[in-house]
This record gives sequence, C-alpha cells and structure tokens, in this order.
Amino acid sequence: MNDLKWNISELSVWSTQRDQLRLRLEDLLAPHTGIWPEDHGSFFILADQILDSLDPPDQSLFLSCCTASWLLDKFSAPPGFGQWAAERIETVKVPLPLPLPLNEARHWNWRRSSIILSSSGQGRLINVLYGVGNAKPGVYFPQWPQQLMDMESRKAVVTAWNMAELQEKSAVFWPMLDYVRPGGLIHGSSLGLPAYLAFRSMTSPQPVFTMGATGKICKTGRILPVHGLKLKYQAARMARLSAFIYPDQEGIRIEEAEPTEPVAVDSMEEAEAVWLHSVPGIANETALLVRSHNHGEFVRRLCRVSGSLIDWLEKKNQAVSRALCSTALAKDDLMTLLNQMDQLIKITPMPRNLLGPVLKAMNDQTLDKLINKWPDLAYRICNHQLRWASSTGDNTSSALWEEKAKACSDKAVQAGLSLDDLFLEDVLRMVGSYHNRFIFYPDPPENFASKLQAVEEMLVILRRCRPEANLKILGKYCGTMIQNLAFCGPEYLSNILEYYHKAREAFGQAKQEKDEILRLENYLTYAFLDAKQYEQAEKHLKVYLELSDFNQPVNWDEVKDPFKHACFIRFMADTDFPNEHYASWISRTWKKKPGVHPWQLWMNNGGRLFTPSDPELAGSLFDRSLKICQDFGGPTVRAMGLLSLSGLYMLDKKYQRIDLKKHTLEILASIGKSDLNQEHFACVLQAADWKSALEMADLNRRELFPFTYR
Amino acid sequence: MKLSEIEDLTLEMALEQAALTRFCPPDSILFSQHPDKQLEKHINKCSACRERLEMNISAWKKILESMQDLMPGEIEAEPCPGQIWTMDSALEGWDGYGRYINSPHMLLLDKVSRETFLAAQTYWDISLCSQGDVDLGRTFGFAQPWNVKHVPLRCLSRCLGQVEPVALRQTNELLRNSQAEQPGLNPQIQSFRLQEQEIFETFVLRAQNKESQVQNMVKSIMEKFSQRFKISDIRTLDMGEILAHSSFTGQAAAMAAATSEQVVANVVRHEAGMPQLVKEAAIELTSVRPGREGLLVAGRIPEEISSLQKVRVWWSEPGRPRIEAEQCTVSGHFFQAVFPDLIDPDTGSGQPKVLIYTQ
Repeated sequence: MNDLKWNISELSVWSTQRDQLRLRLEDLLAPHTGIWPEDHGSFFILADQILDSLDPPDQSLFLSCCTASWLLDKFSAPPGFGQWAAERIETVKVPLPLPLPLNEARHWNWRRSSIILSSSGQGRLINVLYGVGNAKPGVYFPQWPQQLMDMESRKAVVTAWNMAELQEKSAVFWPMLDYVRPGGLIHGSSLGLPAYLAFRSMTSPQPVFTMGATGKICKTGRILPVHGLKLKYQAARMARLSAFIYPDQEGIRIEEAEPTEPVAVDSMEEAEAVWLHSVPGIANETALLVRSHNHGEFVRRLCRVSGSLIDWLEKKNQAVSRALCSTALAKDDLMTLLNQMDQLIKITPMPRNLLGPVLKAMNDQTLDKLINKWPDLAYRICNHQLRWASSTGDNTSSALWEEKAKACSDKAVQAGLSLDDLFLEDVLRMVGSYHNRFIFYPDPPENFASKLQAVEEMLVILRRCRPEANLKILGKYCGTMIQNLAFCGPEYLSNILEYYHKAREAFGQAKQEKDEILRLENYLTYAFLDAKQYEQAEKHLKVYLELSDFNQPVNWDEVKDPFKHACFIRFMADTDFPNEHYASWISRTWKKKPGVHPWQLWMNNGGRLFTPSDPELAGSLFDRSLKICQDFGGPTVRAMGLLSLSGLYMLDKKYQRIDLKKHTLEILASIGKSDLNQEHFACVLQAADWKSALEMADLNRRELFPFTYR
Repeated sequence: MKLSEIEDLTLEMALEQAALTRFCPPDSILFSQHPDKQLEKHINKCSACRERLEMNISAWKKILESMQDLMPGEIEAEPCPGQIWTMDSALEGWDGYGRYINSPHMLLLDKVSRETFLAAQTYWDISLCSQGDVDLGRTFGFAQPWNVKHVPLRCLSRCLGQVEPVALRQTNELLRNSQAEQPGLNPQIQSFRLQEQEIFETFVLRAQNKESQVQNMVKSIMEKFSQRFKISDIRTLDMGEILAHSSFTGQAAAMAAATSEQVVANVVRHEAGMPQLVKEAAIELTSVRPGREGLLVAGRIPEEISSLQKVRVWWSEPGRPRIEAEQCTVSGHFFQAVFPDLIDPDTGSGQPKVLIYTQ
C-alpha cells in the first residue's frame, strides 16, 4: 500500500508548519510498525512536539495511531511507550476509541487489514485493527462520540468472528476513522468477508500480502453478492493493493488494471487460500486450483501457485498427493507437471519454496503407486527427488531415491524413458552419493565411466552422419567429471582441462546451451583458484560473469544468480582483488539474502574479505553464514559451518558475539553422527579440543572444503 | 476647414504616428555615437528621426519622462486569455529596408498548447480603430481580430493588464470571419492594416526562429547530457521538466536501484544557469494519497544529498498530460508536494517524478 512509509520523524519536521502538518492528518489513519524514529529515545520529544501542534480531536487521532502501531508490534516501538501513551491518553480532551484498557490490549494479538466500502459514487478504503485476546468472549467495537457503524456491519463482523472459529476468544474490530471528519457511516454486510479473512490470518504464521476483499458471508460458508464492486475495486487499485477478492457474481466481471488483480471467488475456502497463500500475480491461479474438481486440471496447475498453498492443501486434506495417486489422473497431466518442474529446476535461483512442497507431496508412497502404472514418469520423479536431495545436501534422501530409481529403471526404459532422463541419474548420483558426502575419488564409478564412454562413441557416430551434431548429455557427463576431478585437487588440472574442451565440443555453440557452458566456466574458475592460478581464474570468471572488465559498472541487484555472486566473492577473497563497488553492495545487501545455499559460502567469503578492513561487518557475515549452515538442508552444508566458525575464531574477541565452543562442538557432533566421509574430517574430529578443531579447519580449509565447497 | 478635411488630417497624422511607433528606432539607437548603415539608411528616409536628431535630446527625454505615467505599468502574472502583453524586446530590430520593427502589444486569446498562445495584435491609437476592430478602452487601444497569430509563450515579455471580458469575447467572436481587407474600408486604413499584419508576421517569425534556436540549444545541451541520460522525449522547453523525466545511462544508473516504495530522482546543481552536476538518487516515498487539498506526494531525500535548494515534483499517469505540483515544500530532508488541480488522480497507475536542485 502506498501509505505505509510515513513516520514520526517526518511528521515532527512538519509540526512547525501547521498548514503542512494538516496535509498529513490522513496518514494518522494508517498505523504501521515503521512509524518510530530510528533513535527510539527521540520519540517522546518528537511526539510531544507533534501533539502540541494538533487540535484536540487530532491529538486523539495521533495517539490512536501511535497506540495502534505499538499494538501491531510492541518490540519495534520505543521502550516505555505504554506508559507515555497512558499518561497522554488521560490528558487529551477527546477519548481514544480503543474499546479495552491499554494494559489489557498490550497482551492481545493484533493485525492490520482493510475494508473497502462504497457510497456516494466512490469506493473508500478503511484500515482496521483486528485484535484477538483472552477476555469475555465476544466482539468489541470502539466507542466513538457518534455512531459510525450501523447494526448490519456489526453483525457481519460478529458472523466473521464466529466463522473464523474464534468463539472462545474475544476480538476487537477497530476501524481507523477520523471521527471529526468520518467521511460516512460504515454500513452493510460486505465487510463480512474481509473481517473473516483478517481473523483467519491472526492464527496463521503466513505473512499476508496487502489485499482487499469484499463479500457478505453466511453461516453455510457461502459468499453472497454485494453492491458497488467496481467502485471498491477502483479504491483497491488506488491503494495499490495486490489483489481484490470479491464474490463471483453472475454477470459481473471486473476488468483487470495494474496493479491490482481482481479475483472472483465462490467459496470462503477459495478466498482464504488466496488471502493466505497467494503472492502478487497468482491470486486467480490460486482460486482456480482450489476450485478445481478435476484431478488433471489440479495437477497441471500445481506449478503455477505458491508452495505454501500446496503445503496448506496437503496438510488440510492431502489434496496434492491424493490427486497424484488418483486413478482419474491421465499420464499427460503428470507429464505436464514433470515438464514444468524441469523448467523450474533450471531457473536460477531455484524456486525452492515451490519445488519443496511439490516434491514433498510426491512422497515414496505416491511413487510406489506410480511405479507399475507409469514407470518412466516414476523414474523422472526419482531424478527430481535426487536433484532436490543433492541441492539440500540431504544424503539420506539421496540414498532412498537412488534405490527407488534403481528399482524402476528397467521398467522405465521399457516404457520409453528418454536417454537424457536415464543418463541424468548418474550425473545426479555422482553428486548425491559421493560429493555431498565429501567422498572424492578421481576415478568415477564404473557405471558412470561406461556410460561416459558410450556417449563419447555416440557423438562420434552422430558426427559421421552430421558433422555439426552436438550431444548435450556428453557435455553434462564431462561437466560432472570436471566437478569430480576438481574436488580431488589441483593435481588433476590437466585432466580437468581435457574434459572442459570435450564438454565445450559436445555442447557446441547452440544458444540454448549457454547456461551449461557458463557452468563450465564456473567450475574452471574454482579449479584455478584452488590451484592458485589466479590469472587463469580471472579469465574464466570474466567469461562466467560475462564481463570484459571487473571495473566496468554492474548493477549487481540485477545479477540474480547466487552462484555468480558466490564465485565472484570467492575470487575477491582469495586474490584480495579490490572492487569497492561490489564491497559496498555486499555491506548494503547481505542482510536481505535468503538463507539458502550458496549464500552461506558467499557470506563466509565476505567475512574473509572484510576481516582486515571492517571486522565488525566480517563478524556479522560469519555469523549469518553459520546460521544458514545450521538451518539449511542436511549435513553437507552444516559441515561448512566450520568455515565461518574458524573465520570468527580468527577475529578479535569483541567481534565474537556467539558461543564459538558450543557451535563448534555441535557441528563436530553433527559430522560424527552423519554419513559424511569421517576420514575426510579426521583432522577436525580428532582434534584435542574445539579450539584446535577450528585451527585445523582454518589450516586445512583447502583440503576440507575444496572447489565449490568454500 | 471642412469636417471631412479635419477627419482626413487626423487620420493622416495618426498614420504618420503609427509609422513612427512601428518603424522608428528607440533613442538608444537613434542617438548612438556610432550609427550603423541600417540607421543611416533609416535617417535618410525618415524626416521625423532627422528632426529629432537635430533637436535637443534632453528636451525629448523630458517629454518621454512625462509620458511614462500615461503608459500602462507592468503586472506580474502568469499568461492567460484576456491579458495584454508586450513581446520580448530582444526580437526588435532592423528589417533590411531601413525600418526598425518595434515590439507590438497583443491581446492573449487562448492557450493552444503548453508553449503557445493565440494572440491578436493591438494598437494604442483609437483614431485608427475601424470596422472589424474591437475597442479595448483608453489604456489599451484596440484589438485586431484580423491580425491573429500563434505566439510562443517564451517570447512574451511583460503583462500590461487585463481587458474587460466582453472585449475578449468580442475579439474571439470576430476571429472566424475577420479579414484585414474589407469592401468600403478607407484605403488608408486598409494600408495601415496591411502594415500591421506585416509587423505581427515579422515579429512572430522572429519569435519562432528564436524559439527554434532555443530548442536547438536545449537539444544540443541534451545531446551532451545524453552520454549520461536517456531522454525519452522532449515535450517541453522547461529544462527542469526534461531533466526530471530523463534517466541515466552508464555507471550512475547502476548505482541507483529503487524499490517499490521509491522513485529515482535526478539531482541537479546549477552553475552559471546550467545544470552542472547531475546524479540519481532513490527517493523514499512516504505518502502518495489524494486528500482534501489535492493529491499529496511526500517523501524523504537521502541524507547524502546535501545543500538542498528546492524540489520540483511532477505527476504522470498513462493517457494524461504531466502536471507539476503547485507547491512543493522542503524541510530538512523531507518534501511535500500538493497537486490541487489534479482531478481524480489514478494512484494505481500514476507515479511522481522528482527533480532535486542542490547548491
């Protein structure tokens, strides 16, 4: 919404110019958690300054707004606000409309949402504070000096509270109104749906995007038509809400206009799914998926909605796994879903939030039902699962899905599995079974080697018929060989280059293979960095980043591929390469990076980079890197936490804000209990104490975390 | 002397005076120490100027000073229909025939574009007012609906006052069928009118030439800037508006990445009247809402931009001309811009453009 950025500091600036301050009174109807000044201590002076500049009714409005903002998030407000507010509330001439004492309200759970009304030929958006707490059950409304809500609208809110299954709780419905200039009565029952959705979101951990809704609800769970839809939609647009949910009324269709997606729903379940589980741009897809009664249509839509919706549906009634196992599901529908997943996996960064829940629903029981029916598709599911397990370092899952793939491979080939899919498994297995467990042997497993030989011969035969022919699968095999050899150390550099040339040859110059070719450049960069051949590393890094010069201006926000960032920062940290622009970008953006691989490595190398110049920042980067290692995925990534811990250990004590001993012992225990290669980690596992372990980790970082693992 | 002879004589004197008013150079040129060839050519042809040169200059000055009080004074105003304006005196000058074309006055009739007004030339001496003219009263003389041109706004110089609404309406009504040459019109008036048309034509041509020179100058400045700017279109000669709606190219662009609650503003520093240093800054918008006073756009300028001088804000939305905020108040690093004339702004699709002037 476009009103959520104003703050107290800004308002205080205008408090000396009353005509300018008057322009901002409407902002006081939009409380939010960011109103507080950065320097919390200055709030009380600034707020008193503002109060002194306001007339009595506006003073009450200001106090209401601050109080509402405080209730929304007490931790972001200045300490002592409660007492300050209580004192001021007693002295203002116009009482606050909050229908319960401040001392009680502070213990309630509060959320902000909006209702949209229409009257006098225009739509009107009103912010509402919803509170749920433990008092005498019922819904409490504000006590205004005059009546500002009609009986019908009050009844609609009570119905919403009942439907949201909050009857054992008490609730507050507090519309933010300027009661001197209220702009009309809150009337009618169309606020039933938005009130219901707001109450439902009180119990959901899911963040709700700024949406609007209108609709009358009834106890049967139906949503009934309301008036003034187009005017309300216009008001939602003006407030830049991402979606506007309305009852699917026959004959009424709202034409979409940026930036608000109109979503017609025909049940409260649909409305709730959209409200809680859609992100901007997919609200209609969300509604259609929930509405879909046909399993085929349902499965085809799965990759177009949010992961949280899939999770919700699965938890609610196992809708996703039931649809996947349904006898009514056609092979084409499942194939469509798997093809969509193929595409999603190629996106960088991988949309983990969506793929995770879909793959979770495609569990081993689902697979068992599919193996006999469509073994080729079952095999593809195994490949997806293997890829997922590899990317999260979940070796237990890798082993499970390898077994499953083996079990259905013969039948899959008979059913017409494509060569690419069949060969892909070996590539994935190499990562899952060996690299992720820190098992590094230069010779590939026999199965892999024989297939590699076969595809090499295949290219020779192909080229006899068509000299310009390419063979992507060979390129992939060679890429995996490069990975394998690079993990084994710089002594294999000449073999790596041999496979690099083979891979380039196999991929050819086809534009669609650009990503694969760039991936090879990434491998070569790391391989040369490990070999300390920095000029060569720089050469390949420039090709990988598609830059002719590292000093050329780059909008790093536009570089979305986290692996490119990880590679560049590793180069900077290893070579002390100065790039002030990127360094300042790191310090501006590190907090916003997601807690997934490979950002933990990026932060660790960021910590190394900043250790000499800004140890404070270096400490923060190591901390965050460690946190990601601990929270994300399986033991492979967790073990990488040793890198950040050793980085922190080398810093001055004042920058060590966490208990290094505790975290080091935890990680060592995790490695000891896992299926990771114990011999590989012997130097740290057998260290005399945690300090020696960190010293060993620092000393042996190249061997412990070779190639792309640091 | 017969009445008709008196009338003829009066007309003759008025015409002579018109020729002097329109074609004789001002004193600063006439009494120049170093007369140029154009002036010599004029003096040879113009007996009035010869007489003046032979007379005592200080006597002339006294006469002129005493006449100043009779002349309409200057009024500070935004150009709008019904006003009498002079044209830029820089456009005055010799015409190649020994005539010095003096700046005429004109009545503004209608604003036809952001940059242009439709205007009718006026003449002060009511004794030359005839059929098809509109009497504007003693101060402003009469308007010539048969002598109407599109005048670039930039070439208007001084506002002398406002005519009665009825006179403006009459002039507008006469526009369509009004012609300088009309049957039965005194031949001397006829020839006066042709002369008047020639003057306005010459002046407007000069104004348009100057306008295109200015445009070319702006474009050439913009071309110089274009190494750093992407200039989408030039709809205006307001350099500020052009700069506000330009976007950076190259390194500067890479530095400014705005989020959804931000807009990228251009920052300008003026030196010798020209923007010398320009960079981009992401402005945080703190409020964009239609209110009782009109649309309010408020925001915060980053602290690193120091020595703020002023902020200009435009609102643009698809299918609607841009409009500049009527007032934009700056306090500390915050600004508030109000658009009272913007009817039903579409905050869903529109967005503000901000230009920051620093010292």
